[in-house]
Amino acid sequence: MISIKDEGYEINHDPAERLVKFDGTLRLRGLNEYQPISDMLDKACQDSEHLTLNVKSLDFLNSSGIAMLSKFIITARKNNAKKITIVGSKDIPWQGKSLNNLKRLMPALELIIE
Amino acid sequence: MDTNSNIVRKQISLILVGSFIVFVILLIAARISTHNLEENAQRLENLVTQNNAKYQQLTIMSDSIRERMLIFFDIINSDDIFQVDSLILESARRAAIFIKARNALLRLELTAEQRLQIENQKKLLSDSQRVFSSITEQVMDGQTNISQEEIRSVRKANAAVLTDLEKIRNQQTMLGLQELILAKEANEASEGKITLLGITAFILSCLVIAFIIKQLITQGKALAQALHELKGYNATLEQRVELGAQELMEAREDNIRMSAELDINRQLQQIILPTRSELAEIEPLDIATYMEPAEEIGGDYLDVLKHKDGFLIGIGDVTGHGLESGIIMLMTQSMVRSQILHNLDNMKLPLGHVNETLFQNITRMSSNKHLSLLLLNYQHIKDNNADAQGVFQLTGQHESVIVVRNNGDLEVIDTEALGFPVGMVDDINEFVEITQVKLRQGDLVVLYTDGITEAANAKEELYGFERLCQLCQEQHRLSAQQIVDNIISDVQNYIGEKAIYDDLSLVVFKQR
Repeated sequence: MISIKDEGYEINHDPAERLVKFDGTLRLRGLNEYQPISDMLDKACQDSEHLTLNVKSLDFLNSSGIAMLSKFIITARKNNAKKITIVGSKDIPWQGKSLNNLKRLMPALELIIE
Repeated sequence: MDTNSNIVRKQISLILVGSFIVFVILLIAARISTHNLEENAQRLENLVTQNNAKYQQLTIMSDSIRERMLIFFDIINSDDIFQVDSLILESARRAAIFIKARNALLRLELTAEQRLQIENQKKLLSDSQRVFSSITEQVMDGQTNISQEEIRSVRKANAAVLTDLEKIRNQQTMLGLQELILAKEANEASEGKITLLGITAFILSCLVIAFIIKQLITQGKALAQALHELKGYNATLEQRVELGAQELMEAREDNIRMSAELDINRQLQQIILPTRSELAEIEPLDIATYMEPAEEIGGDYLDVLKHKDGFLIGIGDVTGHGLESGIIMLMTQSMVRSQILHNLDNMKLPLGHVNETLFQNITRMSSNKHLSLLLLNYQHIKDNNADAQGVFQLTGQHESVIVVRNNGDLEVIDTEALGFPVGMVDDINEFVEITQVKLRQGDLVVLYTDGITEAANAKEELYGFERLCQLCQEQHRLSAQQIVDNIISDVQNYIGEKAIYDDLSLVVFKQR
């Protein structure tokens, strides 16, 4: 289990489950501050053909975070073999439009809104 | 602090326990020493008492013998029969004294040799007594020619007894001397023992004291370490306080900078807004706009641009707040304006172009901002026989568009599928779509930013899309300006005293 933790948020990568789980609220400033998370996602994506991002407990993600996720998806879609699943919540406002946009960036992406 | 008081408590108990152990060691040493000395003194005292008692009895015995000898000679030389009788009685009394003293002597501790000597004396004395008795009988009978031989034997026997007694006395003296030597040796041995004991006690005490000192030093070090850490904490604390002050100062500077930014942003937003006269020129429409910058300014974009075939309404919301958002809003405005010159024939093009240009600028700025952007291109239909008086094409992803028909019917146009966030990825052309809406007289169109729908009251409850739709439906017969005013006052009533978090932007138009 690889973790990135700070005040208000926690991100855990479980290589065995091929799962990256986000919790809390992410308001980092700029892509520089999101770089460690971005690196974790890239690494997780390289390590397995299938990766699930669970953002059901991510209550807030600012625009830099959405940009970071979008860039990650754009990178991932270049590799046709990659399979990405995103699990989100219908009860969290930021997720509706933003997750759909991710799906539009990568139609092969499996989006599960629970 | 707890650690320190614990250490002090440990030190005190260590000193107390150590002192107690030293005290006990010294006490035991002293006790053993005095016990040894007392034993020696007792032995000497016994010796002296015994010797004195023996000497006393021996003296009494010798004296009795001597007295009896004197009495014996007095008896021999006396011719007074009464005197002889009293002398015989006196002699018997002396004999009794002698026997009593001898018995007392025998009761004392005597050597076997001494006892044997005393036992041997008995025969000598009884023989002597027999001769003594016969002589005294002869004297009593008045005989004058007493055998000189008998007198000599008595004298000899008595002398022998006296010699024996003297021997015993001398022997006793020798024994006493021997005892004294033994006592002295015992004393010397005791002294040795006491010295050894003293040294042992001293060494033990030293060990205990050394242990205590070692413990105290260890604890002292722990205390010093604790103090050092405390100082470290203090230093860190001071540093933090200093940092805090610095941060405060920086925050103040930030505040000043931000309020300056705020002023600039307000001006940016306001100076670029369409003027009333521009809006008045748009004859086919009754149109009104509203823009209220929030306290912490956002990056709302709102524009109404006239062109040769009609006019273009743009509305958008740059993510985040601050000068950067304001600048991106300004750039967006310029880019959109540049599009009306060339690209309005194909409404699929402007959004992709704006995105491409803006993405490059945003990348150059090392910014991660992007914006929602909706473009509405209106054209008036001049043909009086047509089924509509106006038509608009809609493109871009933004908040849903509200249309209230003249009859009060509500139509909501979801724009999610019409575009993509602008400035986030290099190419969004594949996501851009167009939708077209016809307008008849009295139809109302409302565009807004999420500052309206996400305005929150004191309970953090949002104003919401449904409330806005309902209000639009209720008021669709009013003029565009009245509707704007009513929506804004309703939102302001709703949030009450609470500050607005985001810019409030609103475009309301009605087909004339």
